Amino acid sequence: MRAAFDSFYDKYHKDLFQYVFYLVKDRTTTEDIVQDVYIKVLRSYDQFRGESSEKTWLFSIARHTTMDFFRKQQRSKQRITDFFNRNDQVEQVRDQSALPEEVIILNEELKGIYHLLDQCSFDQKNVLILRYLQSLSIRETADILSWSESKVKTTQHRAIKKLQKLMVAERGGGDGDG
Amino acid sequence: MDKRKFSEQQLQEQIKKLPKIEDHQSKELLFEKIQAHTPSRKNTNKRQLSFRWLIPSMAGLTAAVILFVVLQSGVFRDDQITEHHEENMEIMSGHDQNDSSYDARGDMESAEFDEFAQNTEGFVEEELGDFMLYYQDEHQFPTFTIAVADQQNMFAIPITLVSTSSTGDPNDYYNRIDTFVDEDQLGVQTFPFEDIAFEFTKGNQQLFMTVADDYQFPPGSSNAYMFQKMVNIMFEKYSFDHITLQTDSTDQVDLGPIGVKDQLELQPVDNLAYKIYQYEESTQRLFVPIDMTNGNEITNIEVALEEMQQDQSDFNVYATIPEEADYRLVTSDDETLVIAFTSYELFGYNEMTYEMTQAILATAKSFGYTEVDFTIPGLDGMFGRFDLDHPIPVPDGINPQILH
Repeated sequence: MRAAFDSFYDKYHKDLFQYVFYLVKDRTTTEDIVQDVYIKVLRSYDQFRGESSEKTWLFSIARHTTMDFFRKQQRSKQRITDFFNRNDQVEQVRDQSALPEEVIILNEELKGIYHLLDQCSFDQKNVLILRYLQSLSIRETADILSWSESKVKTTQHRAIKKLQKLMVAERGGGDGDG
Repeated sequence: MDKRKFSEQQLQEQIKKLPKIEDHQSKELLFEKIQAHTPSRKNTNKRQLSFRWLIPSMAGLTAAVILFVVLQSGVFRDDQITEHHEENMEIMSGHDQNDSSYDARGDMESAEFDEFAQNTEGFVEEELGDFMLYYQDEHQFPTFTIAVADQQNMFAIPITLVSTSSTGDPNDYYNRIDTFVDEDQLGVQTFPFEDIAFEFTKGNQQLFMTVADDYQFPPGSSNAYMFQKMVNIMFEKYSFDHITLQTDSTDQVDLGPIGVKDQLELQPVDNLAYKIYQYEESTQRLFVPIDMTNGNEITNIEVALEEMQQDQSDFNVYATIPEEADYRLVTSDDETLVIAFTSYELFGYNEMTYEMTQAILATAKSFGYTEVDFTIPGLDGMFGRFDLDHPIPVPDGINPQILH
């Protein structure tokens, strides 16, 4: 198990952490999810047949694990919402995550993009992160998401358009609180 | 141009400038945490198994205690039970009943009686959970096996469509697979078969698979792996050794990672260990066949039964035989598998034991057995739909879905 872990960690850990972090935007949650990903990978490594690349397989598991996290969060959020009957209570919970130092030092424009990513759908975020932050090809992205290449292209296009609109709205809005 | 607006190209470049976020925890610490969560597979499973099966088992035990108390209290004496049973049979036979015969039942209403009568043989079916096997009965309804995948695209799961009003023509079923599957209810995903036409020739002698000339096989080797698994399962009973492939105008199909092929070999579907797949609490429980154990193919029934004692909870796959259960196996007869369990506290007229029995029957079938002779301490006679006093035939289908 140690050898397999070393191999995955040395080759992919930085990318894996980065990928999950940008999906969840919280360091502790990222650590938990990444840990879960490794546990799944190491437990099922004997079932990995090498028919996809290791990285594709690893990122697919990471994506599913993150989706599971959001599903669980959604259920608990629903319970909280039901309890308070007020959505703003839930929003406050989400905004409490501290900004990582790497983001604090960014200029306002990049900080804006960092925040606006959260207004994209889970699929759009996935494509933006894999394509631009992970520098993966359309094909590799399609493999990880189990999509066709054309679906990746379409989602990417829509995500960029959405970000453009959001940025204009934010700048034009002036006093809006984002 | 609006100065406030980035071009697409500029925006893409800006996104690329977002910083790399470093993991602050050390590699060693992470590994220690992972190790802590994966001690030995056995210990983890034992804990999960005991807890998961505790509730249905306790429910069964509670029901048994209540039944015992009711019987001991003399509310229903044995002769009354016999009398009720006979009367009930008369009612079902359509015999006229008079008031005095109704009075003989005391205050017990008909529905209560039915339930009580069943309790004398075993627990009511709801206590035992869903029946997840299909046996051809005297009706001999046509069945068609389709396959779906778990949410992580790791396992192919068979579903037996039972058509109660069918032409019996498989072409009517294999060309609209997605219409039979409620992905949310089952917690599964379907392969995009809607782009593929299957055609059985007359007498089911040959099977053609036709796609459009511009057909694109779904990307990724996991899809290719899953496709092969699914077609193996779907067409197993027809004894084809291959599917003939074609597009509208050529005799070859590009199956992505499988290659450009004019025919696709069908692999045998055997030597399997059946476990439970359940994606979420709200989704249906399904039997899932596992064909590997610790990275190796399952070669004999002993290994399959051991594999059935292991959870793979990360994939929502769960053991069907309790980890702690011990058994003796007699495999010398090619037709009959004999399995005798030693006493185990959670065995009883409950869902866990019922699912175990069904899973062993499905597993035994995949090794060529035709029946299983069970000995389960504390259980005899009728157990749900099984008569444990006799060897039980292996099923005709797994995860049945009745079509009306």
